[in-house]
Amino acid sequence: MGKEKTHINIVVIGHVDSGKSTTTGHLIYKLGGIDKRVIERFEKEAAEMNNRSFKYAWVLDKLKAERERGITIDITLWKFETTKYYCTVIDAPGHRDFIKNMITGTSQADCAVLIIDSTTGGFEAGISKDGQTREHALLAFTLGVKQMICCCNKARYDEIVKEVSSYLKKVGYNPEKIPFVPISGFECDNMIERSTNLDWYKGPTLTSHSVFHFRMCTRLEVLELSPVGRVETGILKPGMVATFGPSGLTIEVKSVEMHHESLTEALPGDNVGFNVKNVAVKDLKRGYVASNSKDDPAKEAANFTSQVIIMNHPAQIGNGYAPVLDCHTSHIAVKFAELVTKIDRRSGKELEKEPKFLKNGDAGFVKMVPTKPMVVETFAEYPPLGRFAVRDMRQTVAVGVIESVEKKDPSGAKVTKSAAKKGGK
Amino acid sequence: MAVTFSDLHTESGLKSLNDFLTGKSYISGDKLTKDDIKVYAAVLKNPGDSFPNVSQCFPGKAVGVSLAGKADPAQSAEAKSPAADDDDDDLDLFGDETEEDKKAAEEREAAKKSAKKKESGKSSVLMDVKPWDDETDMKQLEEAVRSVEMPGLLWGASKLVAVGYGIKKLQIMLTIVDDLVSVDTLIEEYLTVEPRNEYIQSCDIVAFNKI
Repeated sequence: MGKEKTHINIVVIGHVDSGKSTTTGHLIYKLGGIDKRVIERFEKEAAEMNNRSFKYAWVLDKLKAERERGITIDITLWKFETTKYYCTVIDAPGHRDFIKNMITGTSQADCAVLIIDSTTGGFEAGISKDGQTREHALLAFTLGVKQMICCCNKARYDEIVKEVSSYLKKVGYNPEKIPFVPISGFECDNMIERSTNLDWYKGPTLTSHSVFHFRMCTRLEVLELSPVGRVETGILKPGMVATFGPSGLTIEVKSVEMHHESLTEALPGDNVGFNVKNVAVKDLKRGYVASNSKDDPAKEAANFTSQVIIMNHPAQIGNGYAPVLDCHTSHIAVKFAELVTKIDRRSGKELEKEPKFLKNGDAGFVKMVPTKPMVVETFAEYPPLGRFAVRDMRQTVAVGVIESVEKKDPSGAKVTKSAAKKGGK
Repeated sequence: MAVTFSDLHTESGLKSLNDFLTGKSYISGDKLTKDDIKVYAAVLKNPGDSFPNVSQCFPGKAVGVSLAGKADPAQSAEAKSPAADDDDDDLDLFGDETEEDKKAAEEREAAKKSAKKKESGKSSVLMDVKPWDDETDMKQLEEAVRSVEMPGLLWGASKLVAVGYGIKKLQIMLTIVDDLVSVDTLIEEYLTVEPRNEYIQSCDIVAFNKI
């Protein structure tokens, strides 16, 4: 794999039946994300059935049936490359657990493709209150997916652009920076090559738009006792002195391994294990965060203030509410100590100081206190460690991003000998 | 959707539909399904007498379910666009439902039910299951994982993936029916608790995709 291409994650969002899956499937199909042998097999079958005209739809249906059986470990199915990027596509499911997964999981999207069903009736259903278009767009923005491409699948281009622009502006996007592309997921118009069916449109096609952003600092997220985890930001190298939050345990990183091979450095997104000496099993837990001990080491959060959006709570939320917060791999009850302000989601303007309650659809700043030691960071500095899902009654009732953190200095934390020696040099 | 008719605005498209409908009353199976509604929505114009099967299939039944969600397309578009045009500032993302919204939602709901019990979406999930240490028996770990059974859950292919320092993790595919299976519940109440936690330390979702 050449190093010159950047990897980006693209989440495809939109209402059910917007043509989302057809578009996604077609894109991957065209760009070679599907195993060639599989396609050849399907194409042969299709030819035998004398069914040329439904080829794509038919192949996509077959692939769908295959995926339902889960017989191939096929995340490669959703990967393709363009001239500039390696892309992984996430076709957003309607499953209620997906939102939480998008927040705490490793597949944070760099870019969103919003598919709008432009048909009469279809557009209205998608953008109506129970449609998924609004919720998805709002979540994407709140969670820091700042780049969006909007595809008007099907028809009515000008009208849709106008209406969707005004909506996305309210969510917080700048519609002038959002490329709108008229496409056909079924016919594959304008998806890769310019379509003669839509020759009135002179702008770029869907894949030539792709954009990305990059985050950097030194941070390692730990999952296991081993410790095994994922480098979220920055670079991890053997020989580094690392501090684990929230305990403050400081160690020397002896070596780093991925897939049983030694690495000289691990980059963001790498799932690695690293070797440490003289550490007891109980000193490391899932949810801990390791970081360079000299450069902004991870520490326990005494409290933190977050911007929260209540999405799905049956009642109201007031001071003292203590649900479970899922933030990176930690899963800890956190008390809503103080509702600081209620704000306008779109402008960020303060609507009310110290509100008594926040209910569905409200946004506000909330001061939170973890009930157990926990590491969080501001979203601005370390996005993967600064966004969370609030869970209660088995669902995601709110999402948030962390604005500021008040950290505690660890007292009496263990520093291993080799780390002390290294640190002292 | 099992059957697709892409070009119902053309004569040849209608003809193929007509041929397809010969001897049938519905597009798929023997009940009114979403396919019928889709096709009906595409046909829009009364197909007239030249394609008897098409006209026979649709006017009676499809109109009967009233297609509340898409209702009369021309009418609903008219009703909505003026409001959106002059002042869209009252566009409320999650706010309280107004009576009208409720009614509209109910109608949509009713239409869905009468058309067909709306099929729940499915998702494909790739999950990492991690053992405690290099001495955990990965075979037993996999058996423990696969022993979880619930409606709407289907375990798929799996493989062992090397992590580092002799430790492997189990990577396994699962297919879930969105309305029936919560992956959080699966992980928190089945996999990482007794008795399976003898083998399983933690689980992470690697990929979560719509099927």
